[in-house]
Amino acid sequence: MPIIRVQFFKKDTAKYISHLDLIRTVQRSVRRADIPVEYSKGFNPHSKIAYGPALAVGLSSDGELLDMELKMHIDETEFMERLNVNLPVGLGITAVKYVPDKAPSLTAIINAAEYRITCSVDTAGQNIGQRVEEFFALDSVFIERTDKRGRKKRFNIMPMIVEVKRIEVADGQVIIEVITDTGGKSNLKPTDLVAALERYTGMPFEETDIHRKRLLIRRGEEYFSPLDIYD
Amino acid sequence: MTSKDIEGLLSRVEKPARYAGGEYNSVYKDKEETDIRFAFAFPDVYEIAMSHLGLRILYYLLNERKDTWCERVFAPWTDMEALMRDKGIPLFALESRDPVASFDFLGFTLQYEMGYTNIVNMLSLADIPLLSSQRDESHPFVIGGGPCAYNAEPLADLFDFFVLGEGEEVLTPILDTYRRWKEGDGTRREFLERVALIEGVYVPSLYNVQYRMDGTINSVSPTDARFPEKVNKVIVKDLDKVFFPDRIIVPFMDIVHDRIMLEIFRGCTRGCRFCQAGMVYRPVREKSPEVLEEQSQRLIKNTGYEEVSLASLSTSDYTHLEPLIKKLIAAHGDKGVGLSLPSLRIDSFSLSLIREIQKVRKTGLTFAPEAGTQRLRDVVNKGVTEEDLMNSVEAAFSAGYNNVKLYFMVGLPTETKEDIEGIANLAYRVVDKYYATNKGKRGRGLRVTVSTSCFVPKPFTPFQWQPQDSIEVFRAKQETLRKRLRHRAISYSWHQPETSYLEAVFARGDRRLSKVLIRAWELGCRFDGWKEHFNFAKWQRAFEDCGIDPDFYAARKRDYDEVLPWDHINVGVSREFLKRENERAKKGRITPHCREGCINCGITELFDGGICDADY
Repeated sequence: MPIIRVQFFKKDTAKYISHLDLIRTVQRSVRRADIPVEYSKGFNPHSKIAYGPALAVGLSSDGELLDMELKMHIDETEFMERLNVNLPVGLGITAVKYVPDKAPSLTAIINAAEYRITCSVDTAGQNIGQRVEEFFALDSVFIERTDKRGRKKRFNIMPMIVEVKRIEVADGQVIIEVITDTGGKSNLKPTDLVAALERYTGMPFEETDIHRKRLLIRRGEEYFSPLDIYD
Repeated sequence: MTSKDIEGLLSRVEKPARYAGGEYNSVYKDKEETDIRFAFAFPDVYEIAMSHLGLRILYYLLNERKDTWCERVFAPWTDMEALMRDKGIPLFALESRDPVASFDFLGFTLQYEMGYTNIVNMLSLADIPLLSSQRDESHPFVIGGGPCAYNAEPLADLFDFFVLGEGEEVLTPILDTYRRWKEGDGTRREFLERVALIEGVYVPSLYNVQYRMDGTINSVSPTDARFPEKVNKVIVKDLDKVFFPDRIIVPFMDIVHDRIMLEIFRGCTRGCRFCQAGMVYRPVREKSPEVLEEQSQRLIKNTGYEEVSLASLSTSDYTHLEPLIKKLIAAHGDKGVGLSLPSLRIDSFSLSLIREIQKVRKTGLTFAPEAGTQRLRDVVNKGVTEEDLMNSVEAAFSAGYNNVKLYFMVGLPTETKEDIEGIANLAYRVVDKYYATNKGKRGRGLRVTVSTSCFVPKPFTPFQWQPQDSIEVFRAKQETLRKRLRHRAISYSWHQPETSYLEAVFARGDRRLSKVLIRAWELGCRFDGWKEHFNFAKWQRAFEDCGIDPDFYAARKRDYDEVLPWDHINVGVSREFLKRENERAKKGRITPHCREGCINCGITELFDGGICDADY
């Protein structure tokens, strides 16, 4: 059965919904749009939709992805239009593309993401820009995380930062754009990065706004979009 | 205070979707274009509030009006409340995020007594004076409706007025009257005097209550002859023609009843003597299967929901149930839309019905025998026999069900030790029935859940004069059952008696309890219906501080000649009928079902033409 790969944004009020809420919301939108989605067999049939790495509650994104298995091929533009009018405010599809039936799942291929982090910081009289740059030049910054079994684990976040694309400090605001490890194998939560920055600079970062710009496949020095790899 | 300040809080609370708004089908209007801002309030957390059918109907009914924007406001959970108080953010409506204090109406639906302190808390968070008498022309009118409005005396000091009966009938005249009043420069009092003349509106401040030396009520009378001595409830006459929304809000987050609720009828033809809903929602009025099928089609299309549940009291009493179920399954079954019937009675439960539902989805089965022996079931007029239950259970087990829930009440009038034992015996007989069912047919892994609630005597029921068991007695009865129900297939759960005790106090309370409510809130009580927040010691202190003995309300037997706090409210069923039923209960005599013949409850006298679909 054909598989369609869908890129969508999640913003405004929709950024406050959890991954589980998102799954339910998309399922119902698909039903309203009368999209011929394939259902699993069994007592509680569910639509065959598989997502990329979950986005934490409170974060916005322009680059979320999902794969949907369809009962039949439908035109890409029609698919987009029909689903878009049935999605709640804050969710919207920006691109779709059919991928091969045997394409590996999004979670199997995505290993990086680009984020834009915007924070309010008291910049007066402080060379905050320099401090942030120093931070990203460090070899090791350890943070502590509690794993699923409740054990505390220390690990170095610096190897998970793949590339720093932009550091901008102006008018009490810091904007950082960064590509980090994302996915099952190695994952850096952007909120952990912000907490580490706060600790290093000794400054509170407030009104933090984290935006995921895109999900990526990184192979060595090169990046690919999961949407384009089969072109 | 801006929307941005609220955004700042959202990323810091446990479930921000509770406060974010923006759900599919939520209504947004231009506030410059609307004259009346109405905040529909439910004094509990989002997941509970959004499951309420009345909200779903009235939200769209009010928003049908061009001049009105109805939004929602619910009780913020304690984490959100702490942040709001810390940052000085007042209670806001979900859609516009405007403070509700700037609205024209703040309308609470009163579903259960344990939500009362949340009302006080919400008024405080909204920065609206707690007492009706302290509000002026700059404040919204705080109004209430729903089942607890029939005896809302404990809330009398906090509310400006109450709506008795079905909102579809009475909200329109209220809003029309409001518009006319707002165009002039009348006082708050003038508006209240005007709405008091609308059928179904009760303005407590326009009624005087006088007490006797013994604490009982001497009289309740209007302050002026213009106002009715008895306030009648209002009802919708034709359910096929009444407004029903073709869409409902589809929440992002999981709510308690996350499905389409199709209301198939109102009222009840049974006369269970403990049941307030069965009395106050009379008369019976049904919707036709044709209308229901059409409504379900539109709702599914406009929501994308995967489940439809039939909503009513005692669903199996619907005249056309089988044809309706077949119709709905034929129409939606192939789209993977499931059907659930949450309120089935055990006597009329048929195997064919189970089979119909099972085609789509298998859910657990719930039975409510209410009492453990036939004698006590006759006392409460639950016209169900053990044979009925056993036949239904057998049918269910043969159809592959393995999960059965049994609901009972403890503390019913005339209850003895045998009746408590009877609950356990019934549970074991259900277990035996399972093992007697053919192994090839029955599902694997039996689960029988026995659940007991504590009887709360309610106004407008035949048991309104009865005392409630004490907390200690309730606990002893639960302990007996706990010991008797130790079996690997049975799990037993019970209600906290302290909560039921307070319910009993407020259900039959009078105006003097308003101050207790405020005192309890001052001491920190809120979310009293939630185990993790309920604090009985604080409530005890509140009663003490106010010099009020709660036993006066919960544990006292009333005489027939006592003036009850709700006697000036007319819900249609007559006091004579309730008295007659209470007497029959004492003798263990059952009263037949309305469809077997009219039992003269009085409801047909309340409305012209004697509307009652049970009257065949």
